[in-house]
Amino acid sequence: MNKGTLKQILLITDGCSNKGEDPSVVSQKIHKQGIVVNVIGILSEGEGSDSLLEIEEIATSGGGVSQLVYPNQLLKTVQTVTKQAMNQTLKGVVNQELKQLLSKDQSIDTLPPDQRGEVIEVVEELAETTQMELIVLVDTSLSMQNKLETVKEALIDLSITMNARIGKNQFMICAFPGAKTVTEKVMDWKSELKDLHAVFPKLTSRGVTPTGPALKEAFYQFSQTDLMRSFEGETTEEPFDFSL
Amino acid sequence: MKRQKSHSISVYNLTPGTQIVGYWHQQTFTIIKPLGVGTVGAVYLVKRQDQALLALKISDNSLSITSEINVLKKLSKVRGNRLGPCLYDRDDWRINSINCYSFYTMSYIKGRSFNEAVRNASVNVLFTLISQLLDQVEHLHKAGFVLGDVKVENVMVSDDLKNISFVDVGGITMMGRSIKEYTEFYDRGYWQMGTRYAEVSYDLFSIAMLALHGIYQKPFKRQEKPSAQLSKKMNQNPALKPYRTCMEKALHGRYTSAKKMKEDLNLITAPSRKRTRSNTHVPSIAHTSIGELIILAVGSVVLFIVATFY
Repeated sequence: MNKGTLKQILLITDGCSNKGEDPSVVSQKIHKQGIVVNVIGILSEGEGSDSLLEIEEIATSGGGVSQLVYPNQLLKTVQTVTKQAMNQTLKGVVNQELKQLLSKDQSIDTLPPDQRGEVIEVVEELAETTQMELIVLVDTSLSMQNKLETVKEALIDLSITMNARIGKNQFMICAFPGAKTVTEKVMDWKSELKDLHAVFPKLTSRGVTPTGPALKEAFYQFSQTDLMRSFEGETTEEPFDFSL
Repeated sequence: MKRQKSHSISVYNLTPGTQIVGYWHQQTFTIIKPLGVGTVGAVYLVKRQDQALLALKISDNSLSITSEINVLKKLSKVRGNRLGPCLYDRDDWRINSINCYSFYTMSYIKGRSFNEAVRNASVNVLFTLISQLLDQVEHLHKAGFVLGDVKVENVMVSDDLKNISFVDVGGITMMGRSIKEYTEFYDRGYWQMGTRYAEVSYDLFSIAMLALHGIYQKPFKRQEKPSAQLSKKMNQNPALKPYRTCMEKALHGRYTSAKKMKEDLNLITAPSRKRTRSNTHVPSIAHTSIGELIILAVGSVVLFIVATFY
């Protein structure tokens, strides 16, 4: 992980992928590069929570957090999921340090309450000050049509929460499927999310949801130099390779 | 959330009689009844093995619980005024190697939620309570913290409507950081009227919204022009008229301290309190004693005689 910068992809979708590689496999590869994948599944009224099992899988293999919500809960969920994943990642980093300092089976949760309190203070300090790069990947297939307004509102709200932190933020928004390509960059790196009204392109009605390929393209939007560096360190391990 | 589902036991519906045993300090706590569910974790009324009645907060999110314990510890170091509940125990409930939940106990504050308490009270009583809350918040601000998650469920009022206390520390945030926890209706970010920085004006906005919630008894949804919508809400109820200026100031972040807002409120609530008191001294017919009636009767007879024979 690049020091001091957390990288996250937030996938917002309402259906299962039906084209291209398995999104969970892609998600796992992305996570190996130090990037966390979070997923929010938007349910339609009356839809049960079993319909979107894939969502939990993508987040789990991406080291992130997943949640299924109805549109009216989206506002709160987008920022909860982002913050929770941030804390989880940082807690993981600190846990790793603890294992090296103390012993293999030590973790924050096995420490006595008083010491745990001190460690958590460090985690919170990091969550407040660390830099954040977030790519929001929005499913804009036809079924999302009447949910996009809510998505925009939730993203504006997310930026209010994130920008109240001391650490700096960068946001990018990508939509998928694009008109001719898999994804379409609808907003390049910016420190704030506002005036999103004109942001989303016309919705496509091609009936495909290429979640896996879209995740892969989102991944490549992160600064290439950082990624190159992180692979060089890992050449002895599994080489970074998306060809399946 | 997925994590709760996969656990065999949920800390959100522990039944009365369940015994929680602390791993580190071996104290036993028996659940008496649930007190409420927060954003992170549930709160129960419990009896500790030494018979003490306490409020116990437990969660499957040890990070949040630990963070709240940290806040409670810091608050206990602030001398003088009581700021929020007292912290008693902190421990883990280890049922087995997989199921481990962090918890802490704090003082149990009896009373009703703010909304329930003011349901049939006058606007004056409501703002007297708000003024008292502001007094406590002023001390919290001086200690370097903001309340954050102000909401009717987090504010308890004693049955005689004389005391108000804040019962959930989940939202308490160090000044200058980002608000840890909030509820949309009371959040100025949601109303597009400010940031989520932890600063004095954040709390004062929420407290003004708490008052509005108490008056209308129900939260309302944000509309197209949030700021205008709140002004309209303020004009809608005639009883709010004297408080309007003060409330607008709080909503627009124009107060620099809780103390100033409290003083403004007291100027409105206090004189009218005096007025009602002096009103009760004016005897109404129903309450006039027999002695007074006789004097009045004799007096009028004398006056009648004098007037007739003069």
